[in-house]
Parts: sequence; C-alpha cells; structure tokens
Amino acid sequence: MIRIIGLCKTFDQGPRQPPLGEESPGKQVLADVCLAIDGPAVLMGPSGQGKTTLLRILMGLETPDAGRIEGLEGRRIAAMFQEDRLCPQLTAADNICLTGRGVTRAQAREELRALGFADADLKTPAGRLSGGQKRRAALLRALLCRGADLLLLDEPFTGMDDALVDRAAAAVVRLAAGRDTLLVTHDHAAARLLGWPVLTLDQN
Amino acid sequence: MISTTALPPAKMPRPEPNKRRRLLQTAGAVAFWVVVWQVAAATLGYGGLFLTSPLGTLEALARLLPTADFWHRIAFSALRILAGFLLAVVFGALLGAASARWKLVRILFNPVMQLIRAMPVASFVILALLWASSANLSVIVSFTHVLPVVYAGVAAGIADTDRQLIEMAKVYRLPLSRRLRYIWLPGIFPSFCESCAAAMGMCWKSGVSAEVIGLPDHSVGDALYRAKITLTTPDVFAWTLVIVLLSASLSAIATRLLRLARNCLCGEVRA
Repeated sequence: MIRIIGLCKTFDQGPRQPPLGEESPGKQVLADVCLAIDGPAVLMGPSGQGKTTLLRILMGLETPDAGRIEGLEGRRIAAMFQEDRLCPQLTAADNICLTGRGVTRAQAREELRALGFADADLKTPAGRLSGGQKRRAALLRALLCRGADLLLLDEPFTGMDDALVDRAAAAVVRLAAGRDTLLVTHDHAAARLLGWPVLTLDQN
Repeated sequence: MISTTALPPAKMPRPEPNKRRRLLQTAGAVAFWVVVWQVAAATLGYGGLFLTSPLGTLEALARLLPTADFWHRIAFSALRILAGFLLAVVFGALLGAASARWKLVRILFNPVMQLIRAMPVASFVILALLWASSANLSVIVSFTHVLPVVYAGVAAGIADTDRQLIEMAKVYRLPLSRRLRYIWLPGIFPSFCESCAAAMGMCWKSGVSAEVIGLPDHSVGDALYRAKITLTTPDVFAWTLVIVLLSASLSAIATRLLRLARNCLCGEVRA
C-alpha cells in the first residue's frame, strides 16, 4: 500500500515580480492531499486540481514542498504520461520491448493487434503513427512492463472512440491485475467500465 | 469498427519527378556557371595565364592523373587531413558530451573553442610549425579546425535531445546502454552528422592552406604552390578541382556512413 500524507506543491508563477514587501504568491496545485493506493484505483477531479502533478511526484519527477509518501521505496514504476513519449524511430512493439524487461516482440504485437493495430502499423515507426495509435502504444508500454508493481496512468483513453475505450479498458483491467494502479481520467464512462474504486481530487 | 488510419509506409520512396527536377535544376545551374567561366576565360584569361578555361582545367587534370606523383600527393595529404579529422571527431564528441554533462567543463572549454574558431589558419600554421614538423602540419591544422565544429554539434545535439524521453527513461529505470542507444544517440545524431559534413569541407580547406604555407614535400599544398610560382595556372585549377571533389565526395561518404551507423545502432530493440 502507498500512503500519501499531507502532500503540498506550489509552482512558481514565473518571472513576474510581486509588489514590494509581498511574497511571490505562486500557484498552489496540491494542498494537504492525503490518499491511500492499495490495488487499482481511478483518480478523478476537475482540471487544474493537480492530478498530473501528483502522478509526477509519485514518479519521482517532482519534489513536494511538504508532506510525505510512504511505501514507495523500492517500487518499480511503469507510467503512461500525458504525452505519448515514444521513441519516434522505433516501432510500437520495439517501444514496448525497450521498457518491457523481458516482454517479447511477439507478445507486444499480439496486444497491439488486440487494440486495433494492422500489420502495416506494426512496421511503422512510432513517429509516423496517428495520435490515437501512439496513445494505445504508450498505454501498452506501461501495462506490459514486467516487474513493475506500480502503474501510473495519466488519461490513457484520450483520443479513443467508444469501441476502442471498451477494448483498452478491458486490457487495463486484465494487464494491471494484481498491481497497485492509479489511473487518472476525466472519462466517467471509462471509469465505470474499469469497475475500480474512484478517488476524487477536488481541492475547492 | 476501429479505424486504423492508413499511413505511408516507413520507407516510402521519394517521388521521382521532384528528385529528377532538382537534379536537372542543379545540372542547369552548374552548366550556366561553366559557360560563364568559359566566356570569362576566353575574354579575360590572357590565354589561360590569369584564368584557365574549364577545358584547360580538364586537360591539366588529364595530364596529372596518370602520374605517380599525383596519387602520391593525394595519399600524403588525404591521410594526414583525415587523421586530423578523425582525431577531432573523437575528441570533439567526448568534450562536447562532457561539456553538456558538467558545467565546469563547459565554462573551461567554451572560450577555448571560440578562440580556435576565430583564429586565422595562417596564425595556426605558423605556431604549429614551431611545435611540429611541416609533414604533420595538416594533421594539427585540420584537427584544430574540426574540433570546435564537432564539439558544438555534439553539445547542441545533447541540448536538443527530447527531455520527455529522458524523463520516461528515468521513470522506467532504463539501463544506461539503452538510454544511450535509443534516446541520446538519436537525439545527438542529426546535429552531429551535420557538423561532421561541414567539418569535412573545412578540414580540407584548412589542411591544404596549411600545406601551402608550410610546404611539406609530396603534399597537395606543395603542388599548388609550385604551380603558382611557375605560373602553370591550369595546374592550380586542376588541383583545386581535385580538392573540391575529394572534399565533397568524402563529405557525402561520411554522411552515409553516419546514417548507416545510426540505423544499425538505434533502429531495433533486442527483445
């Protein structure tokens, strides 16, 4: 179980100087956030509430101003970012194998086919895939990462039509089974498909 | 039904008509300037003394080509200039990478590289003649002229490498070998290749200039100088043409080899 206790994060507002005698206000994106991740969960909430920042802190890419996270030490993380972050010169399957720690190209291709990749798409470098295909490849990269015991998925269903969301959600449930997972989404229908507990981040 | 957008295949051949048109345009431009050269040589060349015609240049080249001395000089200069180039590529790449990694290295070496870039070839040659024999002059001069170009190319390539991919590699804890192969090298290669192609042209210019000043025996620079003092202008033009062709063809070969290396190194993951 991962416990997030009293997490705070404020981002600098940029070069604009505050009036004399006043402190730079900054933009507080997380204020005293407390969560527990035990098994899979969906994290929902209005835009700008710090969901992505929370994931980035869990990934070790941001440092919180205050608070602490327990149970993260030694965990192997696989993540799907807001951006696809695929190596553009590699095929989708090679991108999956790159981080997969032993996943075979055949397994990667099989899962990609299940998410609508045609044979020609499997030979195409990721840089030339469509936005939706890149998204699906990035999702499978996280899900197929062997040895990862914490999955952090940021808006994995963006750009997918309803039929594809069905298939992707089924793949998420199947491949994330038995691992702690935090999936951020705005899509209520997709969250229902997953059938996971829903955590809401609303700091208003 | 799920839409899988039909995309162009990875290795789609370029449309032939455009390529042919570009080739024709280039050939037309070259032909135009050869005609201008011919007319200028006929009207202002004083029988080839000041300006040799294209035909005169080719005749001089045809006279030089079968001689052993010609090939000896080409080998002598090419070996030294390319040795300087290769050394500079290795050191420039290492220094460029180190300067991108450690600020202290960047602070220390940036002024040195700027100084080398700004120094005229002649100053370098005179200094190099104090430190080394004239036979090895072109090694030193081509090395010093290529070094800052490759250094800047590698440093720029590292700066251009996709930060989001670097973050991804950090989260997935990719081993260093995979980060280098699939993230850093593809990021660095475009700017590195560009700098190598530019440096190849520069090393021939600077190397032959050094030879013209230092006059090492059996070098192309020495042949150019001899042709100048004996007023055999067609030979000057012929040697110049040889240098241009060597520089351009080696630059093209270097670019191809680097592309091949990139495709072999960064193209496919061993699953």
